[in-house]
Amino acid sequence: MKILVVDDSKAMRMIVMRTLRQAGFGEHTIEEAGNGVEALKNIEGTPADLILCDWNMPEMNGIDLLKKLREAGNGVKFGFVTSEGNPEMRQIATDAGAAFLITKPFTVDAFQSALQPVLTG
Amino acid sequence: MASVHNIPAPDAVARLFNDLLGRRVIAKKSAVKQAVTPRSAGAFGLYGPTDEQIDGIVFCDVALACYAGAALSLIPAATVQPSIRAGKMADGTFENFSEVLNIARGWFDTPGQAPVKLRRCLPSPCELPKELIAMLIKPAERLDLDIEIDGYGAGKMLLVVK
Repeated sequence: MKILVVDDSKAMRMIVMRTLRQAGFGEHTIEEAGNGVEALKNIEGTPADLILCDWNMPEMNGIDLLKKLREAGNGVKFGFVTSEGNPEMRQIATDAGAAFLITKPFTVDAFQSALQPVLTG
Repeated sequence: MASVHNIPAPDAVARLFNDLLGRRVIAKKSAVKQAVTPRSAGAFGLYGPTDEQIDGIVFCDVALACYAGAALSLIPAATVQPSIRAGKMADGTFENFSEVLNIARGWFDTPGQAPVKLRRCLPSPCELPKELIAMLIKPAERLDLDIEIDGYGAGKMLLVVK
């Protein structure tokens, strides 16, 4: 499986990838992108099975990326990893087709709880 | 619009660092209040409902900002020692530390109100508007912390709200 980590912070991409490995998802192919535009380019060649995406990013933010994917008929599993997680944002994310929203800072347990059902379902 | 009026408990500060850096972090109230000015070496995070309305400030001295920025990317502590001695963060360390300040915005959130956002992140010495200098001198509330990051080192943090 291919997991694409999308975040404009290089440090945060590294932390997300480290947490993925600690949570037991290290056997998957993990790739990274710095914003929505880069993410779209990344999956042109090889589609992703799961996208873990920040909300606020330059060029194209996370929610616009998700909407663009769904408009194009792409049903890739999609979860947000973001510093804000109020009920309104969670509703917007769910309505747009996100499977989960993890708030930063996160724990290995949070990743396991959110990703396990998505990757095995 | 959200306004900043929460000051987090030291435990909440330690927990955020702990979760983010993946290592043991201790935060204790300082015995002595820090005299922080725009000339202090370190980094400022400015928080509020809009770019124009800043209601909360986080300042971390150069040691804490360097250690946290380094720990975030697993850069050895020795790498940032020259920056700490010089009182100026390297760009990459500051970029990393900005992510800590971004996530710290949650400290100021009040249930039922719109989330507070990090509006600006500044390496210091820097220039600050008069009203922010006034907030540093006479805040409505303040929290002075001594913070130690296991395997890296210790530094100081100041949180103030208007």
